[in-house]
Amino acid sequence: MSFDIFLNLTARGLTTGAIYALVGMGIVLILQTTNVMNFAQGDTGMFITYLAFFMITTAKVPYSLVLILAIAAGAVVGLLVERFMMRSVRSRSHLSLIMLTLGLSLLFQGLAAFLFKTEPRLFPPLVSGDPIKLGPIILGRQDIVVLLAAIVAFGVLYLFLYRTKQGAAARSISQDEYAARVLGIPTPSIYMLVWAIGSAMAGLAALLIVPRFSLEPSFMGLIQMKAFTAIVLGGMGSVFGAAVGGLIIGVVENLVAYQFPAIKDSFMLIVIVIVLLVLPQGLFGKRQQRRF
Amino acid sequence: MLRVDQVVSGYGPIDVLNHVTISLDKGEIVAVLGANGAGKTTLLRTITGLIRVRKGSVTFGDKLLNGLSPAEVVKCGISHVPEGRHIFPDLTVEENLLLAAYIMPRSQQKSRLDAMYAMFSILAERRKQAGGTLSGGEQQMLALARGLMPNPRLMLLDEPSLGLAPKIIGTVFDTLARLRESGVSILLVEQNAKRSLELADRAYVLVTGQVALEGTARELNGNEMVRQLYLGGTR
Amino acid sequence: MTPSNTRRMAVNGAIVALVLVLPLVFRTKSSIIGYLNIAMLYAIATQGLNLLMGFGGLVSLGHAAFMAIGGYTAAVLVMTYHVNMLVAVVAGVAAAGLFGLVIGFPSLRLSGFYLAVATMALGSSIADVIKRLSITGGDYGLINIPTLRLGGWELTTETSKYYFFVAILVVVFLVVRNFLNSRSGRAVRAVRDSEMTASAMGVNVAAYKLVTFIFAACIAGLSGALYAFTISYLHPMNFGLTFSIELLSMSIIGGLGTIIGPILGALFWVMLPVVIGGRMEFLSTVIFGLSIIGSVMFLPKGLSELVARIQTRLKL
Repeated sequence: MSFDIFLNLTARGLTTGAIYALVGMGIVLILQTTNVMNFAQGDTGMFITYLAFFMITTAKVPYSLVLILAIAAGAVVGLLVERFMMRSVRSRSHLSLIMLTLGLSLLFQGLAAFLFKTEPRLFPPLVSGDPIKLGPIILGRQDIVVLLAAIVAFGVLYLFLYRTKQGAAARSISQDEYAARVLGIPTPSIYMLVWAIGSAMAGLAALLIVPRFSLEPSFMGLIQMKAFTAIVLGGMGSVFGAAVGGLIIGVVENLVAYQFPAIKDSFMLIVIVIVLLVLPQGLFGKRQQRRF
Repeated sequence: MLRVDQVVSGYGPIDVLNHVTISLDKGEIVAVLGANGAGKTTLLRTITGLIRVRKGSVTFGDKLLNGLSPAEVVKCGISHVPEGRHIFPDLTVEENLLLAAYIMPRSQQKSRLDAMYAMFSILAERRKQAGGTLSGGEQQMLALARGLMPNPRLMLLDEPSLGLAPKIIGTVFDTLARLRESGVSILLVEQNAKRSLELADRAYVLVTGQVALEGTARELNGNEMVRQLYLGGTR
Repeated sequence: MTPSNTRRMAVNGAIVALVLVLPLVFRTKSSIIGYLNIAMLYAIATQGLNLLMGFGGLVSLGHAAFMAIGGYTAAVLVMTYHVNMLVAVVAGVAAAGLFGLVIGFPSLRLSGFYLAVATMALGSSIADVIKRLSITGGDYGLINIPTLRLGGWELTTETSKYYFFVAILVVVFLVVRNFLNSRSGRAVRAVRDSEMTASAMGVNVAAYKLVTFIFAACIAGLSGALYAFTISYLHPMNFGLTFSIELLSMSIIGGLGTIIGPILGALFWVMLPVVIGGRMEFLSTVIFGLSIIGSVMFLPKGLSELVARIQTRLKL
C-alpha cells in the first residue's frame, strides 16, 4: 500500500468514523446520564432521514432548512421518548430498558416501511460537484461536509457538557444521580434534554451518511452496530472516548477493507467481544464503571 | 419553622417512619439520634422530597412540603447534606459548589461561591481540583459548603462525622456552631451522640421509626437510657 | 372436585381437543397449518430464550445463532455426509449446546448492557461466518434440504408435521418446566434474583450461568434442526440480529418468565401478518413494535398475563 493510498483511506475512514462517533456519542450520553442503552439510536436517525427526504422531495423545502428541521425533529422525538416511555420504566431492569428501545427500533422501521414503502431511494447529497484535492488526498465534497459537520457537533457537545450548567448537571448525574437529586437538580428535565440531544445527533449522523447508501428502513442497522463497537473501544463511560473510538474504527475498517475486503464486517464484531473481555473499560474508561 | 407531623413514610411495602412528630424552631440546632436503621436518614429524605409522605404532613413556615420535588424543596430554603457526603468525584470543587446553586441566577451563584471560599479557605485553595481527590475532612467541608450554596434557612445534615478522624470532627462541629450564629437552623442526624448533644439545643431519639425520647440536649444528656445506649464510651 | 377445578379441567380438555382437531378444521388450507408449524418451531426456540432471560436473567441478543448452528449442522451432516437424520438432529443440538458454552463465557464477566452488546456481536458474527463458508452454501444459502423423516416415515404433509411438532413442543415444555422446578432450576432463578445471595448460599454461580446458556442453546438448536428439514432452505441472513430480536420480541410479547409465554408470543408473531394479509405487510411490524413497547410498559408478563386475567374473570 503506497503512502498516498494510505492517506486517502485514512481520510475517508475518518469521515465514516465521524459518523460512528456521532451515533456513539449520543448513545453514551444517554447511557451515562439516564442509564439506558438506546438500541433505537440508529433507527431514530433513519426515521428522521425519511422525514427529511419527504420534506425535500415532496414539500420542496430547501436543503439547509431541512437539515435544521430534521435535527430539531430528532430532538423532539428524543424528548417525547424520554418523557412518555423511558420515564415510566426507569426503575426496571436493564432488560426491560433494552427491550423498550428494541421495540422502539422496530416501531420506527415498521412506520418507515408502512408510511414510505421499502424501495430503496436515492437521497440527494448536501453538496454536489467534483471531489476536492488537498495535496495527495482526494475527498468528495459530501465527505468534507461530513467532517465539518461532525467537528461542529463535537464542539457543540463539548460546550454543552463543560460550559453550561445543564451539561454540568448531566455530568453530575452520570457520576452520582442521588447526589444530584439531593442538591435540587431537576433530573427529569435533564433526562429529557439529554435524550433530545442524543436523538438529534442520531438524526444528524443519519442525514450525513445516507447519500452514501440508499435510503431504506434498514440502512442504519450496521452503522449502529459499529457505533457500539466504537463505544466499547472508547470505554462506555466516556463521551469523547466514543468519539475517538469511532474515528479509530472508521479508519481501521477502511484500511482492513482495502487489504481483506471479505472480513471487513465480522472483523469489527470480534473486536467488540475481545475488547469487552480483555479491556472492559475501553481505552478511556474510568476505573470502575459507576452504574454497572 | 419546621414541623414534621405524624409522618409515615418508607420504601416499597415497608413503612420505616411510623407517625413521627418533630419540630424545629428558627435558630435552633436539633439533633436526631438513634441506631442504624432507626429511620434517621429516611426522615431527612422525607423532608427533602426524595421519599413520598404517606401519611401526615411536613410544613416549613407556612408552606406544606408534602409532594414537592427535591428541587422545589431546595427553592423553599431547605438544603440537604446527604450521608456519605456524595461529592461528585470527577467534577472540580468549583463545579460541585456551582451545581448546588443550580436554581440560582448566574450573578447570585458567583457571590455565593465567593462567600463559600471566604468561609472555607481550604476549598478556595483546591477550587480546581477534582472532588474525588480531596481528603475525607475536606470532602465534608465541601459537602457543607454545597449545603450552604443555596443560602438555606434550614440545613439537614446526615451523619457529618461519619468516617472522619476525631480532630476533623471537631472542626466540623465548630463550623456548625458558626453556622448557627450566622442564622442557619440545623437539623442534625448523627450517631455521634456525645458531640451532637454538646452542640444541639434540643434532641430526639428515634427507635425503629418512632420518637422514643425528646427534650433539651441537657435533659437527654442526663437521661439514663441515653447514657447507656448512646453515650457509653465507644459506639 | 371443586367447581373451579372441574371448570379448569373442562377448559384444558377443550384446548387439547382443539389443538388435536385443528388440522382437520383447516384441511383445505394447509398453508395455515404450515404457519402454525413455523410458529411452533419458533416457540421452541423462544422457550430456550425465555429460559435464558426470563428465568436466568441473562441477556442474549444473539439467540438466532443457536438456531442457525443447529440447523446448519444437521443439514450439512445429512446432505454432505449422509448421516442419519435423527443422529444429525442430535448432533445439531449438541453443536448448538457447544456454542452455548462458548457464548456463555462472556456472561461470567459481563452483565447488563455489556452482556447485551457482547451477545449481539457474537450472534451476528456467527451468522456472518456461516455466510462465508462454502460448506454451508455461503451467500446463496443451503437449498433442497431433505424433508423431515422419522425412521422410514417421511413427514411430507403439513398435518403430519403438525402433530409431530405438537408432540415435540409438549415434550420441550415439560422438560423445561421440570427443570425449573428442580433444584437446578431454583438455583438458576436464585442467580437471576441476586448473584451475591446465591453465591453466599453455596450456588456455583458460574456453573449455573453456563448451564443455562447451554440448555437454552440446545433447545434453540433443536428448533433450528427441525426448521431446516421443514423449510428445506437455510440462509444466514435469516439468522442475524434481526431474527434474534424477533425471538426476543416473541418472548416479551408472550410474557417473559412464563412457560406458555413463548407459544403465545410465537403464535402472535407468525399469525398476525397472515391475518392482516399481504397488502398491509408492514403494519405488522408497527404493531409488533407497539406490542413490545406496550408489553414492557403496561403488561410485563405479556400475553400470558392477559390469559391469566381471563382465567380469573372466568373464575378458573
